[in-house]
Amino acid sequence: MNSRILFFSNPKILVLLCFILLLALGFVNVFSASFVYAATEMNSTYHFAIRYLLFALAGMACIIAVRKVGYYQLLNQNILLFFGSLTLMLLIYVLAFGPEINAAHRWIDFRFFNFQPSEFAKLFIVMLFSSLLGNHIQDGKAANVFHTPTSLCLFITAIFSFLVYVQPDLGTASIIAGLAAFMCFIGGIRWIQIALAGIAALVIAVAATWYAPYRLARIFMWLDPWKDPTGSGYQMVQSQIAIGSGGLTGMDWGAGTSKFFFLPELHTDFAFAIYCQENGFIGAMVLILLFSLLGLGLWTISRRASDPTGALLAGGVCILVVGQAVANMAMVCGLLPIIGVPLSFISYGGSSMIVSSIALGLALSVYDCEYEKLKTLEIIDNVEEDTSANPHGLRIIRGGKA
Amino acid sequence: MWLCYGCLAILFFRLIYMQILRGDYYSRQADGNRLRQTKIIAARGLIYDSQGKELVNNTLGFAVALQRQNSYPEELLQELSEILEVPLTDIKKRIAANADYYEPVILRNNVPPRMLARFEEARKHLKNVLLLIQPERNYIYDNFAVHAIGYIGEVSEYEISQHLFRENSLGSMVGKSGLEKYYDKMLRGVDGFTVEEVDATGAVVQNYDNVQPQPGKNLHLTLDYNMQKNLENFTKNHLAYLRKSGNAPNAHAAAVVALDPRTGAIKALISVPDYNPNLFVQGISEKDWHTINTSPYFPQLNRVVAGEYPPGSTFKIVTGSTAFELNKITLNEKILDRGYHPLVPTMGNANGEVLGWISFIQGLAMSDNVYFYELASRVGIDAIAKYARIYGFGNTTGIDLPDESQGLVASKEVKKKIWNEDWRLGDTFNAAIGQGFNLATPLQLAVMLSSVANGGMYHQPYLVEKISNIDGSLYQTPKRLPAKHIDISQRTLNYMQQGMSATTKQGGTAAYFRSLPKNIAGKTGTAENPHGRDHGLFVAYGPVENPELCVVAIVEQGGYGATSAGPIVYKVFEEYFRERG
Repeated sequence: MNSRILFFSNPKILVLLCFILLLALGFVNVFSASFVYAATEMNSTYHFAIRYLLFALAGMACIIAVRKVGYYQLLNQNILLFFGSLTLMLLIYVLAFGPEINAAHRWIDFRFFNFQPSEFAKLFIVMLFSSLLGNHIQDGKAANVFHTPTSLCLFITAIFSFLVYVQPDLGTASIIAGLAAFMCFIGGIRWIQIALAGIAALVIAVAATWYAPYRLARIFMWLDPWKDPTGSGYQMVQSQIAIGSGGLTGMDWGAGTSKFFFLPELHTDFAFAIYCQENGFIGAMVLILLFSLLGLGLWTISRRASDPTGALLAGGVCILVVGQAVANMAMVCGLLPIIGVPLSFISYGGSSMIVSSIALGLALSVYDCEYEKLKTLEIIDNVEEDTSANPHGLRIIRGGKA
Repeated sequence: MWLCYGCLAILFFRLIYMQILRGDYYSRQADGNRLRQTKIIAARGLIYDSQGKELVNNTLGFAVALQRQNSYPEELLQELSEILEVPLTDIKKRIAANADYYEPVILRNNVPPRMLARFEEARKHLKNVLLLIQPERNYIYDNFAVHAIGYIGEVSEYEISQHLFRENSLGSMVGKSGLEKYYDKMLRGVDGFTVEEVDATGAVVQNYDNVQPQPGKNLHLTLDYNMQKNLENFTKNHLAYLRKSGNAPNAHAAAVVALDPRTGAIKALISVPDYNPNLFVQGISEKDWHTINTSPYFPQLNRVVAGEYPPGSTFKIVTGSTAFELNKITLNEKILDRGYHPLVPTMGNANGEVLGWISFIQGLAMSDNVYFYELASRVGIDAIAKYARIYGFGNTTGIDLPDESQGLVASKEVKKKIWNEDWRLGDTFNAAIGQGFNLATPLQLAVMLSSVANGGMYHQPYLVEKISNIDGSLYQTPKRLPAKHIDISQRTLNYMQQGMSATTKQGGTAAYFRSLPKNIAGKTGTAENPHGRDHGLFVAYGPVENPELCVVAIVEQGGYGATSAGPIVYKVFEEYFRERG
C-alpha cells in the first residue's frame, strides 16, 4: 500500500479522521454553548459537556461494534424486520405516552437522556432501501416506483413519515420522505418518476400548508424574520445575529454572547450559530470543510462498492449525515425555514449521535468488506483503476453523469 | 454530487455575506441585545424671581416603568392599570409606542404617595416592573404667576408627531405653557443614562458606566415676588369687591401687565382667574380638569398676551397721533362738541355729555368722543390703521411667551373680509375711539404706552432677564430685538404725554391718581362688549417726568375703566413706589 492510498484517498481514514475532529469541535462547542444554561438550570456547568462525552464514547463503541458485525449481517431481513418493528412501536409509544416537550411528543424520557425514535426511523429507512433495493438491483433490475421492492419501501416510508408528522415534527417527516426519494434516485429510478414524485411532494406541501396556516406564517417569517424580531421571527433573528456578529475571526472560544439565553436550542439545533459567533467565518469554513471531506470519503466508499447493497448504504449514509448537516447549516443561516434537523456530531443529542455513529459504522463496514474482497482476490493494487466499473447501473457509480 | 457542491457553495457565500460583509451590522445587533439603556431624567432648571427667590424647583418623584419584554402578561398589565389608575388601553399604547426602544416603558410619571404604597405592597409579584426615581416639578407658590411660568406635563402623541420637542418619547415631561414651554429646551437639560448588560430575561448581569444627566439651565425672571404676589391678591380682592358692590356683578376676569418703558422688562403679569400648575404635574385628575376646562372664564387663558379686547378710548392716543403727524390739527385748535358729530348725528358721547369748544388736551383728558370723530373724519381710516401698526397693533409684541395673539387693526379690508360690506364713515368713527373692529391684547397696549412714555422707542417686552448655569454663573442673556425708534415725531408724543397727564389731574377721568407720591399719566377706556357689561380699561405710566413703569389693566365686564381697572393700576404704582421708597 502506498502512502497516497493510506492517507488522503483512503476513505476509511478520511471518514474516521473527520469523525474524530468533528467530535472534538462538537465537544468544545457544546460545552461553550451550554455552560450558562447548564449552570443556571442544571446546577452543573458540565451537565451537557459530560453527557456529550459519554454519547461520543457510545458512538465510537457503535462504530466498532457495527464494523465487527458487518453491514450485511445488519441488513439481514430478519434483523431489519426486528429493527423496523421496534422503531415503529417506539414511534407509536412516543405518540401515546411520550412526555410533552415544546408542545410535541417526540422523546422518550430515559432519565439519562431523552430518546428520539424519529432519528432511528431515518437510519431504518436508509437500511431498508439499501437492503431491498440492493437485492433487487443485484438481480439486474432498476428501482421502479410501481414495482414491489420500491413500492413496498415507499409504503413503509409513508407510514413512518406519517407517524413522525403527527408528533408533530414536519421537519423530520419531510427528511424521512426526502431520504426515501434520494435512495430511489441513486437506485436508478427513471426521470419521469422523479418528476412525478416532485409534483406529488409539491401538492402535499401545499396541502399541508393549507391545512395548518401557521406553517405559512412560518414560511413568511423565514423569508423576513426581521418583520417580527421579538415574536415568531425571534429564533431566526437571534440566530442570524449570532452568526453575523462572529465576523471573520469570531469572538473566541467561550466568549460568544448569544448563549446568555438570547438564542434558544443553542446547544442542539442551533449549535452552528454559536459556533459561528465564537469561531467566525474561518471556523465555519473549517467545519464545512470537515463535512465535505466526510462526504467525499463516504461517497468514495459508495462508488467503490461492488455490492449494490453496500453502495446504496454508503450513499444513504452520506446523505443522512452530510446532507442533514448541510440542511442544518442552511436553516441556521436563514436559507431554509426552521426544521428541526440536528447538526450531526456538533449538536448535543444522544439519539442523533448514536444514529450518526451507527451510520458511519455501516459505511465503514462496506469499505471493510470491499477491502477484504479485493484482498482475497489479490487485486488490491488495482483498486484505483477499478472504480470506474459500473456493474449495476447505479447512479452513484455513474457519478457526474447522473 | 454536483448538487452537494452547489449547496455547499451557496452556504459558503451566505456565510461570506453574513459574517464578513455584514458582520459589523450583526455585531451591533448583538450589542443591542446585551446592553440595556435606562434613562436618567435630567432635573429641569429652576426659576427665580428678580431678587433671586426660588419660585419653581424639583422634588423627589417616582415613576413606574415596565421592562421591555417579548410579551406582556395580561394580568400584570391589568393589575398595573388598577394600581396606577391608568387605563389599560393607555398602557398598551405606551408599550406599543416603545416597541423600537430598549428602554423600559414609563407607565406613569410622578406617582403620588397613595399609589406608591399600593405599588410597594404588590411589588413582590410584579415581575419586571421598575420604580424609577426622577425629579418632580414643584411650583412652590402654587398659583403664583402661573400664566407667566406655565406648567409641564407629559408630551402628547400630537406633539411628538409634530416634532415640537427634540428627542422625546411617550412619557417624557415637557413644558406645556408659559415659560416652561417657551424655554423648554433650556430648562430640560440633557438626560443621562445607565448602561447595563442583561440576559434575555432582562436580569442585570453587569453594570457599565453611567452617563450623568446634565441639569437644565435656570431662569431669572424680571418679576418681583412680593410685588407680583400683592398685586395678584389685590386684583382678586378688587374683583370680588366689584362684584359685591353691585357695579359689576360679572367681573370675574382681569388682566394686568406692568413693564419698564426703559427696557421692556415685565414687572407684573396677572391674569385672573388662575389655576394651580401643581395639579398638572401628577397627571391632572378628571375632576380638576373638568373644573378648569369648563369654567366660563377660561383660567388657562393668559389674558395679557392672548386676550383680545377692543382697546376703547385708550385707542384715542393712536387717532390723536395720526392727526398731529399728518398736521390735520394743532394743539390749540378748538373743536365744537355739540354732543354729536354733524356728519353722523347718531354718534355721540358717553352719557350724552356736551363739552362745547375743546382743545386736544381737554379732549383726551375728558375722553371726548366727538372731538376724535372730527379728527377721524379729517385723517381717514387708512391713516389711522397705518399709525396703529406703527404703535405695534396687529402684530405680536415678541414677548418670550408662547401663543401670543396678534390682535386686529380696523381697516377697509378687514370689514370686507369679515362681513363683505363696504366701509362707512361711521366705521371710521367707531375705529377712532377703539371700538368696532379694533382688537388689542393688554400687552400691545402696554407696548404702545411705553413708546409714548419713553419718547418713541420700541423695546421688545421680556420676562426672562438672564439664564444661568447650575452653579449660578451666567449662561446667556436671551436674544432680544434691538431697541428701535418708531416713526412718530417727538412733538406728537409730547402732546400725547400732556393729554395723558391731564387725565389724572383735577377734572380728568381719573383724578384720584393725584394722591400718589409721583405724577402719573393715564388714560381710561371702556370697551364695548356685546356679550355683557363693557370691559373697563386703564393704561398709565409714571412718574411723568422720568417714566419707570407702564401699566395696563383690563377688567372684563367691569364697566367704566376709571372705577374698575383704575384702582388696580393705582395699586400697581403704590406697590412700585413703596418698593423704591
